[in-house]
Amino acid sequence: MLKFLNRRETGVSDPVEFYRAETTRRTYNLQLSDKKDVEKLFNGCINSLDIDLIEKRYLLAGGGDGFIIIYDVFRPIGKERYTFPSVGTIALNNRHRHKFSVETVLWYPLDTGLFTSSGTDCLLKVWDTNRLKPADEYQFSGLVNSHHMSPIATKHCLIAVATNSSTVKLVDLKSGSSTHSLKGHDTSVFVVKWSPHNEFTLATGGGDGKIMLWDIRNAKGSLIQFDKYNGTPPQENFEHSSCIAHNIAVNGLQFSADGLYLVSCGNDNALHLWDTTTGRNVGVNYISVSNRSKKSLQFAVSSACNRDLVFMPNDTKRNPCIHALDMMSGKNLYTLTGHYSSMNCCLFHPDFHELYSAGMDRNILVWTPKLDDTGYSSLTRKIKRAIRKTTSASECKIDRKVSENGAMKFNGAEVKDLLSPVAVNPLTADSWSSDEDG
Amino acid sequence: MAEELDETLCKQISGLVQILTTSGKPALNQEVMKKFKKLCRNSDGYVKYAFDIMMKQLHIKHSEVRLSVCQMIDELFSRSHVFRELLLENIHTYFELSTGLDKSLPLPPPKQVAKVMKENVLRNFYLWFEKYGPAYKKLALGYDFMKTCKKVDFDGISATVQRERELQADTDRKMEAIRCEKLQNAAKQWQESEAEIEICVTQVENGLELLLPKPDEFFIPVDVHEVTQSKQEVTTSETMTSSVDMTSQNSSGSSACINKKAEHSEDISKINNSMVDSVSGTDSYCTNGMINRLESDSQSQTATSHDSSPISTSAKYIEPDYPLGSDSENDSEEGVEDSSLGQQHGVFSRQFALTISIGGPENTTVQETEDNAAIIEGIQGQYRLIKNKYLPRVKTWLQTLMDHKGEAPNIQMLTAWRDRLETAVRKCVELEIKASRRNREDSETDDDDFEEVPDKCGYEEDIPEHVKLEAAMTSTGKQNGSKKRFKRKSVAEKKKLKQSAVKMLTLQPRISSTITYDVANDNSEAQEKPDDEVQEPSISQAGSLQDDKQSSSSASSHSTSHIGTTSSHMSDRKQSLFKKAPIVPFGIDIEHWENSDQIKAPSKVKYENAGRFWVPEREQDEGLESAGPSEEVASLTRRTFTYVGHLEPIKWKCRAPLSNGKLCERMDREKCPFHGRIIGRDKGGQPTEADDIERLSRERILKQIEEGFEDSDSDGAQGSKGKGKGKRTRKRKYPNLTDVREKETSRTRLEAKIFNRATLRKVSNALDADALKKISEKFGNQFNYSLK
Repeated sequence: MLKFLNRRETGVSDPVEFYRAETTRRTYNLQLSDKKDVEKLFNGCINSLDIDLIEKRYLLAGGGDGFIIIYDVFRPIGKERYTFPSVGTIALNNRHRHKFSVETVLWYPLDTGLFTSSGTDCLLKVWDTNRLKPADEYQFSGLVNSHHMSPIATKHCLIAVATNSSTVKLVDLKSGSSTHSLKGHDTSVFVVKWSPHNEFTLATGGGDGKIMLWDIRNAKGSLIQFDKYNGTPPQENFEHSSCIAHNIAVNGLQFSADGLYLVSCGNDNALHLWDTTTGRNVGVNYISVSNRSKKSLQFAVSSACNRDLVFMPNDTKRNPCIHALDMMSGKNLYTLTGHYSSMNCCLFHPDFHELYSAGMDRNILVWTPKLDDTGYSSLTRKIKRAIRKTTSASECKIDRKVSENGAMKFNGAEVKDLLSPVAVNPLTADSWSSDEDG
Repeated sequence: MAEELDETLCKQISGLVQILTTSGKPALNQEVMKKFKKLCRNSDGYVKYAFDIMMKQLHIKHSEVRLSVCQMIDELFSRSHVFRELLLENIHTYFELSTGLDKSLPLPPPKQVAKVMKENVLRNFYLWFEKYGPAYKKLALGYDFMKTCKKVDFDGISATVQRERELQADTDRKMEAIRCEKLQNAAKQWQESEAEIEICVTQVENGLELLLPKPDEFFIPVDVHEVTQSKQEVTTSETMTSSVDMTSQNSSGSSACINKKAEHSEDISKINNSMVDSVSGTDSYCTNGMINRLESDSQSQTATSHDSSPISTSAKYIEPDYPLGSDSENDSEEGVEDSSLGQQHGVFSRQFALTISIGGPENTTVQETEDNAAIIEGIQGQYRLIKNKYLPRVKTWLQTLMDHKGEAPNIQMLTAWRDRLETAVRKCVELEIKASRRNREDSETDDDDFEEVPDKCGYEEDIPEHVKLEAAMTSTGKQNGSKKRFKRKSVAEKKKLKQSAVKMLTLQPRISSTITYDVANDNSEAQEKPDDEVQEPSISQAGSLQDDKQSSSSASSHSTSHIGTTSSHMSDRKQSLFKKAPIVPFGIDIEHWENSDQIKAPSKVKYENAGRFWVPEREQDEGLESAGPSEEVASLTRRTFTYVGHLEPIKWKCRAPLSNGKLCERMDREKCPFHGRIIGRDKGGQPTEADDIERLSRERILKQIEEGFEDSDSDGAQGSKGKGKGKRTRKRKYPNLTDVREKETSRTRLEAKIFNRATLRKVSNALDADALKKISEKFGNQFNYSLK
């Protein structure tokens, strides 16, 4: 890190290089945070999480009993232990809440004053964040499995809604009505995702095991249907005439940050990586991850790493955990255990490099980069030495550079935190406690 | 894992896990567990290894194994950080297997153990959470999860834990209060009686000091108890600067010792001799003789003649009221022998040592004289006080202080006091002040009287102790005089078994004479009381009817020899015995009491000349039935008694632990047919008495050994004969665990019968036949049905 800092100072390396390296290091070292906590307000399972795209500060969580809660995930600097407080709650006392479970919650990409939610009461609600009242409601014929808005859209304001019916509805917020319906799936659609690269590109995954890529400007048919065999199915496989992505239902889709790849998961415990430009299965051999949920599963893909990670919840009964898989190689890098029952959603915070996960055990857990004691202590020592060496001018430079980038601000904060001596917990410090009887 | 694990250690760990988990006990063996922990302690790698093994064991479908594993996990969890991390990684598996919260995975049998395990695990988890919750996020999360999602009643658990803690604290507080109270009590008592004890001990010490001055006080001319000693003696001793430690306790002792000491240096001995010469004739003679003897053993002086006369005279001189002074006589004799032995070795310094050792036995007794009588009496009184009252009390106080962690200075003080008292007591004992000489003699003679009475094969047990004592007292009282003297002699003789043969010889005739006297006395008594003997049978009958006449009469003769000296006492005794004696109806056994062997079996009258032409076969070989008479006699003399005692209803149970964890409910009077004698047992059915425990364990071991033999036997039998019982029990791998294999239930039995193939066929055939019959009745005339 110090080398990177130096090189950045001298202008040898690209700022992005440093950013990337540090992000990678941190993303690859996630662990259950014992400092950060989320206020426990849910009485049931949590189905969906979303972080706003403007400040990346407000965490939206939708739960099984119609609860929608907004958390503030900014930790005031200097506080060691911190519980994310809720800043807005749609609970039982709110008469506008969803009657049944909330399946998806989503911030309006351009403003935190608006968010959308959909649930099993067949409703898609558009909420005014400040008043916590729905501004608009859309009724659908079937349960709404998920909906999504394009994070980059400037030319349209469409919400893609996946319901139990086989068509994907596109709702225009501007007109307040359904504009398109995309027909292509045979059974219910579980998941829809807009591409972060192309504002008109939409990916949908259905219960028939198909993943389709649509250009919404052409509603006639799908752009690409992904085929896991890339058009050459093995000889003994007769039953699947059409090209399918998963043997059984697809319940999770996630684009990579650059929108070039699409990761999908299905009830067949498989994960696939698709090239969105060619529509081919990249053929990464991911490990089998148990996935039994019959609704949309929100998994996370990291951003801005050298090799991005896929955080895939594993809902085996015996050992629910999150696998951190290398997206391009499929290797399981590490496993995060902490939940006590299956997880429904994961969310990667691109700036803090934190992972939020929630599931059936009513907890939202925060996974933060591991503050490796030895590594960081040596690091802090090095930094201190470096600071002593460098002049005050260079210090100013660092500060300025840090303030250039929003992300760097937080890195700076972290570094500051690191400079303070690491408090060692007496209970965890010793390998054998002293009360051992000889 | 980076580090290399030692294979042997790993094996040991797994072995210990095996031992611990297959013990089948509700609690872990602490020793083995300690060993296990020690092994795990070596490094984190071993902890991990142990953890893996334990997890493997946890999967075994047996609740006892799982319970043991859970207990081990609990132990390690509170010890090792690494272990905590590992367990928290696998907490799901752990809970799944140990609590059965997941309904689809119920806990394995036995059910009771499973229940205990579940409670145990949840409780422990709560305790973990309390202790480590803040440090381990996952633990806190798990607690939350269990509480909110699995609805585990942690409040209840916490309440019970709290209650237990409160109880514990309460008992602690109570114990503390009791402790304080006890301490205070002890201190109070101590303070109350401290002065008393102080006075008492000081009195004893001073008295002892007077009787027996310490070496440094030796030269203080305290003449109180040394009046009998001549002034010259004292001066002699004063001249000797190499002073004596224990000598001069009494006059004779001091003189002897001084003489021996004097011998150590020629000039001193000369001085001594000259000095002693100036003393009275007998004394000088004695010392001279002694010195001579010491200088060479082969002196022409015959030990017997020379020894006995002068020293006995000296004894007389010292204690005129003492009849023979046999003690001092013997002692001096012994001393001479010892010293001569020392001299044979020719060791100078050794001789010096010898004089001291001689000084011990010789001089420890303080002879009671008119002058020191008061002191001795006083000391005796104090001694008794100390011995019986103060010392035990001080000891108990000390004990209470020790038990209840009293303050150190107090304990030290009390210990000092105890030591002081003990030394006082010891000194008294050494000086034999504890009881006055005369009293002791008396009591000893009395004791000896009893000892002379031979054991009377159980007969005398009937005589009440006090009657016996009385009789003995009177008998001795009557013939005191010479007999008493003899007794004293015999006591002396008994006490000094290692005495010289000469002494024995001198005593022998006397003993024999008195013994003969005794025997004669006995005989005369026996002859004197013929009427007593007549009455004896009733008494002996009371004792035991089975007693044969001969022995009882002899016994009675013996007993009466002492008892029957006075008729008045006899009648008393008889009265008392008559009161006790049971009344039995007159019978053939009483009729022939004196001559029980003359009881005749009733003879059968045989009608031989009754003109019968048919004689039963049995009567024909009457002569062969020789066993008859004695049996018949026995049947005549046998008496039956009706039991008139009160039969107490049984209120106790056997309470031996059964295999199903309950206790035996049988209520037998003495002995349970399954578990043997009924003994005291605690809550868990374990015997409480130490000897019971020992006996049971011994029996168990024997049984095991037997079983082992039987097994091997049956194996051998099967191998050789091939016709064994075929019941060979398969040896179970873990004999300690409860067998959880599927047992035969009524359901399985019935299933086996009902779903038997043959039965099913039979039933279906019957049903088919029925159907066919119906069809043939209805549609018999239709061709298609007739085809069947």
